[in-house]
Amino acid sequence: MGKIRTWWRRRRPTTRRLVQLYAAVLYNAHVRGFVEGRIYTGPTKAVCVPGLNCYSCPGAVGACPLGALQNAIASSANRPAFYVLGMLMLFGLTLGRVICGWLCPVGLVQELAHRLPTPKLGKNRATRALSRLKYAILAVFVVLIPLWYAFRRVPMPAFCKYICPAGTLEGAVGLLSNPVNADKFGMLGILFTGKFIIMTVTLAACVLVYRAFCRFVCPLGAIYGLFARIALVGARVDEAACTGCGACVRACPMDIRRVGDHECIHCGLCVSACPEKAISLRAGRIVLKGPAAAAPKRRETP
Amino acid sequence: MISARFFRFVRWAALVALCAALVCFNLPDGTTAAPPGGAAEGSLSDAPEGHEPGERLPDFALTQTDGEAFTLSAHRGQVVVINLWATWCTPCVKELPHFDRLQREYGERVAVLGIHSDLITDDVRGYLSNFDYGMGFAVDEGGGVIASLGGSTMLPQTVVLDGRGVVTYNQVGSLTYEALEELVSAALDAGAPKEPG
Repeated sequence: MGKIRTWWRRRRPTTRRLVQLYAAVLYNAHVRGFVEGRIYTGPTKAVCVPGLNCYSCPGAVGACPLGALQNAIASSANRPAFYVLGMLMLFGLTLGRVICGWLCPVGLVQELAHRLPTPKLGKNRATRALSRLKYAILAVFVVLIPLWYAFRRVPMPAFCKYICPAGTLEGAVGLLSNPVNADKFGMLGILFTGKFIIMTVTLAACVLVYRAFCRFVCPLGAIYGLFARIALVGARVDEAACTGCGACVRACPMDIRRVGDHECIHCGLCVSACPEKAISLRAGRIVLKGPAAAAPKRRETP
Repeated sequence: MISARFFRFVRWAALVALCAALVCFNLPDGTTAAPPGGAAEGSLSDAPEGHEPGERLPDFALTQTDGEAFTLSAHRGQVVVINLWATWCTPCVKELPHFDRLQREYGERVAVLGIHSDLITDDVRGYLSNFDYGMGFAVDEGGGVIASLGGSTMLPQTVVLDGRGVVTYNQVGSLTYEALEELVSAALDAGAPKEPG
């Protein structure tokens, strides 16, 4: 009995993990889609969810903001992309990259993959340089290529089409794994082969490198990162208490330079790593996690 | 500072919302069963109703984007080519010119109709106004016609009917102009009135 209790105490999911799981299930609440091998096309599909979640996933009940952005750009010759840009700004201004750390199903998958017991590759100068790649992918595959084709009247969601491993995993594998869609295998060609390879490599990379896709590739994280300085919710440092020891940056698995910058996903790992108790997760002036947090938060660490 | 009671409330509210979503999105819908086909009066074929090759497609009527009505039964004697497409579907948009060419080349012998998916993300009329297509276009907002064609969100899909309204081809996937011509000439042969005896 005591053994089980110790095991549970060590293994029990953190609040963040529960929130991640919650978001993943809520975004994919159309469970019958997995059983029937078809996607949901009801009215809520027009609403963007905050995290990266392929709308071709049989379970998806909302739209992926990144896919919606590319499609909105693709039809921007007929009408401007106000809705999706507004949604992205709303998410960015309120939560910013808190979404990456807490509300992204792809982030959850990457973190679970990283828990497999293998040798791990930590962050270094190379990963920091690679973390800039996602801004280039955002500019080229999400904005420039769709825009270029938009004025040729061809919809071209280039990131979805050529890269997105989340789309391959959730959409393609999610649908094709159902025997109902066995007749669709004949349609698969070079695009699927390429994307399947990208997905496999990405998953393998995520086992070795913490959140490899999120840090180096994900354009949605790049977009939310642009709001790092102004987002309402996020990790904040009490400058008066900070001694600049750098314990937070060393404890952080992401390529941050300081807590709360554009690479920070506000996971809250640094809150307990700070010897001065100077870091907290806040929504404006309200403390969500940290030294001045409400009583029930403190009970979590026995 | 947030009280423990508030956190508890948020947790319960979130749990209730999740349960509600799981129930709402997974309710069985009562409209999946297609209504049995009515009496096939005046039909040129005794083939059973359906959307598979060899079956006779149930009649339907849609309003075209140019305002005219498209009624399937009014096109008996013509080969009908139906293309399911969407503005957001790259391969669909790329093969539309083939269907347009088909209409122009075959004229009265063939009726070509592009039916836009019921998943509409763009102004379909606005999109089409950029082109000078000679074929007919319609939007099936309710999705009923698409369902009767065996359609889904997997696009493009092409359905070819012979002069009797019997399906000769119904598949998902892009087509070349040459492949389309072959399908149409096969349908023209199949629908040709046969010599009795």
